[in-house]
Amino acid sequence: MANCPRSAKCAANWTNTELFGFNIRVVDVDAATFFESDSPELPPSTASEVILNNVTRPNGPLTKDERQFFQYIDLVHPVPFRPGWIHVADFSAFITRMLNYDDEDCLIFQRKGVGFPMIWKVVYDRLDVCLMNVQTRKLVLHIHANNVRYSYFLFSTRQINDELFKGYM
Amino acid sequence: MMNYLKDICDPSPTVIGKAISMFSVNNPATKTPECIPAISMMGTAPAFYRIPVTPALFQAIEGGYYPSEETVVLRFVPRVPSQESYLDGMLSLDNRRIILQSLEAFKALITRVCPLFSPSSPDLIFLPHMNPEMNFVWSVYSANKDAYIQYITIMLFACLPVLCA
Repeated sequence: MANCPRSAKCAANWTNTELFGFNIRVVDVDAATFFESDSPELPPSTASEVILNNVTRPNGPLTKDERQFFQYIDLVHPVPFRPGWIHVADFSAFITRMLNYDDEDCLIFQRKGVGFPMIWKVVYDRLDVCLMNVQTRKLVLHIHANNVRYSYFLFSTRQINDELFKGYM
Repeated sequence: MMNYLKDICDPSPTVIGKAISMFSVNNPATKTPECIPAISMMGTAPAFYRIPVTPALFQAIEGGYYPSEETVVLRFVPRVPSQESYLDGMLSLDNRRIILQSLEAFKALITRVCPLFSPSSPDLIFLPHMNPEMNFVWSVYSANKDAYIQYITIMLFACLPVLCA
């Protein structure tokens, strides 16, 4: 892959060719390896019991987070070929706020413009959702809102193929 | 055709590209290695990434050559009871609990592993370089303010009589 053709392109247009071309490999790992913990168990969730125990919005009084959670779930509900996926970035920003990612001098930004030099050109891109530490002025986390319905690493090519043909039938 | 579809359906290259742009924003002058945390959301189903970005990788991308050192990106997709229904995301209660637990664990990981929550880099950095007009320029870069705060220019030709004396 040392002779792989490379061209300057923004991150939104990167494909596996760029990963091969720059010697980058993605490895799937389990929870214990990823979170550097001794046990494979995940920590308990701090989300409210209403969110954890109800599929849809229940009747009765709800807190603001609970109400908005069910409203966003309805909007982002991934029904094929329904344009709910445009709300993924909004849902991502909401869920990070709900789980208090923006503690400790951090703020959540959406559609933040960034750029980086690639093959002697500067390419520009936008981070769908990102977390910035306002004291250090550094970006801490970014969330990519996927606008593609099916993901290769979760679905086999047969399933992708079937779904694509559904669109033409 | 299918290879092309695989490429456009996999969010990993885009996520990694955006992590490199974050590295560029975070380190305009001092290129110190960083581990950039990232999440890719497919509807309400996340995949988590830890992307190590080193100065060697950044220079390879900037210069367009193949780096000798391999970069290994870690990806974690939460294991739910039925992996086929994972893209339903938080619609199912079982999935929802595991995804929220993973998000909590990821938040803890960011605070523990990512050094960016505390200012660790030195504030003022002096960067000497020569601009096209053949002047020596000293840029004073403030890491905390993330900006160049002063330029000190010494004209080369103005200094020549002094240097020759």
